[in-house]
Amino acid sequence: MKSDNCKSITLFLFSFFLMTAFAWSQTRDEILAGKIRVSPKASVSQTIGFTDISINYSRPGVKGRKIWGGLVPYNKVWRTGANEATKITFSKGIIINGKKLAAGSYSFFAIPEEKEWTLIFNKIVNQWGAFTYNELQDALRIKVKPVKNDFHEWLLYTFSNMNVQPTGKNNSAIINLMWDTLKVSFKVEVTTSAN
Amino acid sequence: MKLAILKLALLFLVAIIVIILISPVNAQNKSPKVRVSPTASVSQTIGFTDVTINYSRPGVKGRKIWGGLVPYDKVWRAGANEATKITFSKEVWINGNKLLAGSYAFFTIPTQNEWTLIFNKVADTWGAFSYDKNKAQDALKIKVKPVKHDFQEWLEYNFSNMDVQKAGMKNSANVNLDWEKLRVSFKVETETK
Repeated sequence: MKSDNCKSITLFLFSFFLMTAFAWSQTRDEILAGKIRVSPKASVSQTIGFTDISINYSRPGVKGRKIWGGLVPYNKVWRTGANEATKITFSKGIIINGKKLAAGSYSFFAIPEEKEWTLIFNKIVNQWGAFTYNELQDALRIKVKPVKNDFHEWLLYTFSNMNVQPTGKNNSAIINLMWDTLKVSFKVEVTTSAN
Repeated sequence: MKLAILKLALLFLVAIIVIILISPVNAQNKSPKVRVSPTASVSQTIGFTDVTINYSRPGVKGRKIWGGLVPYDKVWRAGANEATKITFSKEVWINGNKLLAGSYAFFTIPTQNEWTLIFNKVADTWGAFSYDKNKAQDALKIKVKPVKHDFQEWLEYNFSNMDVQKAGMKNSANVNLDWEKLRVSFKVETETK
């Protein structure tokens, strides 16, 4: 019995070692193969009240292309970035444009249209692009109006308009997605009660 | 007599239990304070190098910032609360000057026309109060010219002007510090051999 246990532990350790080596060699291979991502990875995070919000994404460049209704077609689900779907994580439950959303990580998608965008928080995280997007896993959908903005060559997420209030009151900030000459924003509100 | 001692001991025990039960509740009631300058971070991969900036974001709040709240010719933490921290996963070139991989406290000395940017090896420190003591730990000092920029209520660091090249060539991006109506930038170059 004891030796069985010993065997299974050894087997576990060995497979763990193999997996690690495999994962490592893959990233190493990627580097050796010399693949620099055309749309570099980035992240941005912000504390609002006592809630941490982080956004992990990749930044495509405009590169002289027509973006809206071109590279990013209207009426189709878009990963709001490049490569892996943009991921947004809330350390606590929050309120987005007045609607509750539970703590956790979400894939962030958008359906752009000329006058109005649908923003989607989907429960399946770490998916590549919007290719396997499943509407049934949506946690929240909201509609927002895009506004004109200064030109941004590289897609950028920022936090602005922080409303900092003492403990007990709601705090908030605006999340902005900026690319080309458009800005799409939504408000994130948090409670800061003592418990 | 014996009974009295027993009663006293019991009372003592009950008192201790009550204290133990109450104290964590008290600790919870002492609710933490929301930071006036919220903490934030931003990171960017440049080639195969990750650059991360951890900082706090003060607001303008109608105040005179340059030469006012942030005096000229004095070391400034380039943020609020803890000194701004910048981490490079590999060696980089800052405006052409080599800087080793690692975490640095990022300070500035603003003047009207030219700023000194400082990368100091003592990374986790509160404000710039102990900078004088850690002066000898400067890894790099460069001079840059601030430029006019759109008004920005909350101090923000961001990455722009990415120059994405194939492996083997240098990749780069600009790091921008935007606040009030000023922008201070420096270029970060990485090797991808």
